[in-house]
Amino acid sequence: MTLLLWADLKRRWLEYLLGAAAIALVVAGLVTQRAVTVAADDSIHDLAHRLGKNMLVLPAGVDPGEFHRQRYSGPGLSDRAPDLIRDSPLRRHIQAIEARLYGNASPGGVPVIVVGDASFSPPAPPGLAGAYLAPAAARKLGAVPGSRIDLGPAALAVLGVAREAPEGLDDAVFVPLEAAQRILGRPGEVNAMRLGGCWCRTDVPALASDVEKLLPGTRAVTVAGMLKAQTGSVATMKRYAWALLSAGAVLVAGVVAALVASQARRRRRELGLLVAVGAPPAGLAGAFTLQAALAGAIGGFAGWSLAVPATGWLGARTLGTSLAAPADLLVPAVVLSALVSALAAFFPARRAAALDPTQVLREI
Amino acid sequence: MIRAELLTKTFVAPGRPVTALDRVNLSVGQGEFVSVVGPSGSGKSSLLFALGGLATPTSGQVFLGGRRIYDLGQSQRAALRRSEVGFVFQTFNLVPYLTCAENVALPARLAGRGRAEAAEKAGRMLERLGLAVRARHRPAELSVGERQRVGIGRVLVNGPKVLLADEPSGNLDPASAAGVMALFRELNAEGQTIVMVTHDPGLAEMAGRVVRLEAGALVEDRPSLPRKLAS
Repeated sequence: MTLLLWADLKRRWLEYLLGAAAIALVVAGLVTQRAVTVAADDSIHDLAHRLGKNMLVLPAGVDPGEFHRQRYSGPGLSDRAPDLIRDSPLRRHIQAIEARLYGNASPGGVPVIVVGDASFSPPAPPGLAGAYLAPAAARKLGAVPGSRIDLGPAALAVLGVAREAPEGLDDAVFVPLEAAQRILGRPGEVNAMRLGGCWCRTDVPALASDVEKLLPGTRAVTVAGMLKAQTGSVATMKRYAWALLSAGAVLVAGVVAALVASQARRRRRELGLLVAVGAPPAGLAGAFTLQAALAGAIGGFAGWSLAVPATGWLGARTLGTSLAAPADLLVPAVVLSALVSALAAFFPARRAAALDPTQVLREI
Repeated sequence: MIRAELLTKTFVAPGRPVTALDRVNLSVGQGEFVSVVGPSGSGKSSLLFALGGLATPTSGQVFLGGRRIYDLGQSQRAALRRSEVGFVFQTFNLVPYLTCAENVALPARLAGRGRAEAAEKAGRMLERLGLAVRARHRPAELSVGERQRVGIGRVLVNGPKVLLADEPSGNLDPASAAGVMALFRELNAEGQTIVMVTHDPGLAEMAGRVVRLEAGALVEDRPSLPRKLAS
């Protein structure tokens, strides 16, 4: 049987290759979908972790994911917004307001994050604005406490270098809000407000809705809201992942079954002969099944390989981050593809091997 | 050696039942060369397939070396076809993508022999059949006579007890047909048991015994005519 198996594989390699390619496309789609779902899930949990019990108020046009990846762009909010909250009935729920203007700057080609904070007004020499630097920013800019750096139109006196930066802000230069507005050319603006309070007995989604009503054009992002969003999007993706996996398996099975059935039809005479010279029907069915499993395994491996660039591309487009196809899906992709292919091939192969040789051997 | 007892085979053609074999009794001894003749549709090929364990009879039995072959399981019958009976076909039925050597080696490989051993046996067989130089050729590159000799080589490679030939010269030119018959006679002279189905009365008389089927029934069983008379 091995002789026939290899001889047939060599002879019909293009057919097997096309079958494997179809399987590869399905597997690549499934692996990519799985990778992106997991990454989206992780990203939401990461954001929720960072947000804690706070509420983040952003301009409605800003993508929270982009914001947390520290790509600050889009419209801003008026720097009067904190006062509007303090003057409203919402003040009894909100104990702390941290209004900030974040922006990306590159003094001398060195990328840093400028963080202007309304509550930050350290004493500084005349004509300079006081600044604290996160460790990486200080290293990149070659700044030490007491040195002076120029960030666009603002001259900053470095008052200190933090030993540790808040998570994700290792490249930050912390300055008063007014200085950040000058550096980033956004006078009168903030682009994020972090609202804090003890909200154990507060309906947080309702509070977020009230904040959005009070400050039109804003979006209040909360852990509760994000988890709700997760239920609505990632959870849906997860739920449909099973449907996708099933559809993929059916597709793979269909391709393989069609391939085997078509081969069995074309090879009737050969199969009849093999039965006549003593090939056991079970061995013939086994050879077909093995060929299909081999094509499935190759398709599974090729599909996973194809998912590597696809995941990177899709991750960059949808999540704005570089994603890798999960290595732990390689073995399941290969094994499952081989298994589904073998199962799909089994019945047409068994039917082919059970043909009546006396019929085909009489055909001239 | 091989014996059919009350062998009956019926099947349903569109609209009517057809009796392909009607209580056929036939016994072929060790080293006999029997030709089966009869008009088209008389059941010659059905008899041959039934003798080889390929067509389960509606009733009756085939005995090979004392065993009731239709009481054996499918895999045991397959094993029997690998080693004890062999078929030669009118249309050769060679595997088109295998070389001559691989075609001849095929039953040996199926019987579990190693690649080297099967190749060696196939090589020897091809040499005996005068086809050694064609060992690496594929069937499409051979003449019809050569293809039939490869088909015979494939049957003989496992040393079967009975060779069953279904119109082995039906697709051959007279010279090739004569060559095949000469080979059969040579094999028979060496003790090979042969049952051959043929349309050709002249070829039939080259066997030692002739049986005639008509409408599925065995109507004649006689020794062949002396060669001079037959020609």
